[in-house]
Amino acid sequence: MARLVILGAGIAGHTAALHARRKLGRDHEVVVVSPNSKWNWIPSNIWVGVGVMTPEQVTFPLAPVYAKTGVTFVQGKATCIHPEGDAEGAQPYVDVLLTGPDTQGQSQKVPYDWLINATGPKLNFDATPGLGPNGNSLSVCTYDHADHAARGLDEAVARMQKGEQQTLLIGTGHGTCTCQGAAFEYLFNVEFELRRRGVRDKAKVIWISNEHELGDFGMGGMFLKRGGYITHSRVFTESLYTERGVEWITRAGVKEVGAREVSYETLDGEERTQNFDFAMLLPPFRGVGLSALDRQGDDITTELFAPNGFMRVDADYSGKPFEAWSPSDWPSTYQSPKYKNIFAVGIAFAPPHAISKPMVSAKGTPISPTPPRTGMPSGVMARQVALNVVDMMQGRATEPTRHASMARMGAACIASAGASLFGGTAVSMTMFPIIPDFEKYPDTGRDIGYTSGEIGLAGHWLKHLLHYGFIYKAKANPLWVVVPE
Amino acid sequence: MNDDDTSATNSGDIRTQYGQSYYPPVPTRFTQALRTNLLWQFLRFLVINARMLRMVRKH
Ligand SMILES: Cc1cc2nc3c(=O)[nH]c(=O)nc-3n(C[C@H](O)[C@H](O)[C@H](O)COP(=O)(O)OP(=O)(O)OC[C@H]3O[C@@H](n4cnc5c(N)ncnc54)[C@H](O)[C@@H]3O)c2cc1C
Repeated sequence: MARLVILGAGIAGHTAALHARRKLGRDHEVVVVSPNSKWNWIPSNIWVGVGVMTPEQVTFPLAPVYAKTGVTFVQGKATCIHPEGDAEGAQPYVDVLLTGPDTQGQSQKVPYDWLINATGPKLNFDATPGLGPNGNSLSVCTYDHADHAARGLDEAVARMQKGEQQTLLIGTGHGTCTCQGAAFEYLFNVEFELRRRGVRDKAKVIWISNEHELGDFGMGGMFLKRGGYITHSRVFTESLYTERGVEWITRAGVKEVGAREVSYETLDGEERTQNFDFAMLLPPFRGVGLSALDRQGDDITTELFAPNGFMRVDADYSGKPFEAWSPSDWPSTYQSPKYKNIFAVGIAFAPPHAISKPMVSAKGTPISPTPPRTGMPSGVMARQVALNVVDMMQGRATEPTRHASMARMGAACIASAGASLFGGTAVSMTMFPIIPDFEKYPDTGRDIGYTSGEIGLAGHWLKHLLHYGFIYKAKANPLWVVVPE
Repeated sequence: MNDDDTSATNSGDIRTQYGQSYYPPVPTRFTQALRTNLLWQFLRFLVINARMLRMVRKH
């Protein structure tokens, strides 16, 4: 009997667990370690953040799903990996700090034969003084944060209803943030809500981000066929902002969030400020801070993890200059080069480099997006890795046979721009490949035939359907496997 | 841009000359209406679904 341990029960970890459990016979064990007792459909946190959904609508308890499917659930936070075991024996294991209501504060050794790290990001609010729900700005990264943001929005709306003018600032809270798409969705949902609540004329809505241009989204933007032209997503995005009367500040690295004012540096090296009454600013991400020890107890964290805390996998980390980047730098099996029984998927793996061109301010501050890893690729790579591990556990393969490189994978993404069954809209995007390939597509980096974007009510219907479809799938309800990642 | 820059929303006119929102294309009323027209959006719903499934099948 072999034991697969999966760290994290987010989009990637939970997908890996369900697929591994489906394929493995009962003679093998699947264990999930995750600190939160609930699963969260994170994309719908945007709707929690404007008060159109409750945290209960975007979450469900994991324990009953794992009980039903035969997955062992350890509610806890992995802290240290021992890939070679320790002085007592060669069995690899993970140290886990338990977080369940009855076990809080206790620790447990969780042995593994195969390990998938799907721990996602640490929300690194500490990188910017004053950033985050414990400081002066709000967040929608977790359902609790989003619920808190909804209350902040209600308060701002109440002030507007009393006739006060309010400035709402939404975007990224550091020069190296990613996930601009999520902030974009929140911006448009807030703007939609302000109109719905009849206070739009009292609000100045401002976007602030580290993107070089609007529409970059950490993907270097994308080219689309529109009206007889091949147009950059910048044009499309600027149009959406202009139509809604939203101002934008780009090429900005936020340095401090004060009580009513952010200080930021621009790529030109200028120091500027922007006042606000309501601010939702995303934090930068880093790895969750796992460490690693070898058999002798020596620290090997830097051999398993990159300096940003994400796990090293089969990528090219040689730190090539931008001009030398190649799609083949990106990992395809997500296997640790040092320990062949360890994998990292979703946000937890260390990308070899950014997708948007790295930019540094005149003062040397990096101000450009780090690479996003959205839900669809996270789910796809998790499934492929889980199936590879299953094959190796069952002796059908000795090395990973399925590949899931973001350089050979497309993505579909729907960004909500207002939630209403008949008046809402969302931007529906597809792109192929996710990592631009200028060797194959020299002008645009991506296949124009597969890269598209449009806004409309249909996108909102689809986003709504995905909300229910993915929660249905994550609950492992009948036929869950036919719902694509 | 900064507080003192030409502000689209401050002036209440989204096409303030030489402001940042002076240049981007804005949709016509017809384009805007199509975005929430039920019949048209039903067709777009089918098209977007087909497009996304084609993408899923590609990998
Ligand atoms: C507000 C918002 C909106 C978004 N909208 C979209 C969207 O519309 N479409 C899209 O494709 N993507 C969207 N994304 C991105 C998407 O949520 C991520 O791509 C996805 O969640 C990544 O999955 P993951 O499993 O790698 O990480 P996560 O989903 O963050 O999961 C990480 C898991 O690891 C657990 N964990 C953390 N530390 C430990 C530890 N030490 N030990 C064990 N477990 C641990 C966490 O509790 C969690 O269960 C959005 C993101 C945000 C923040």
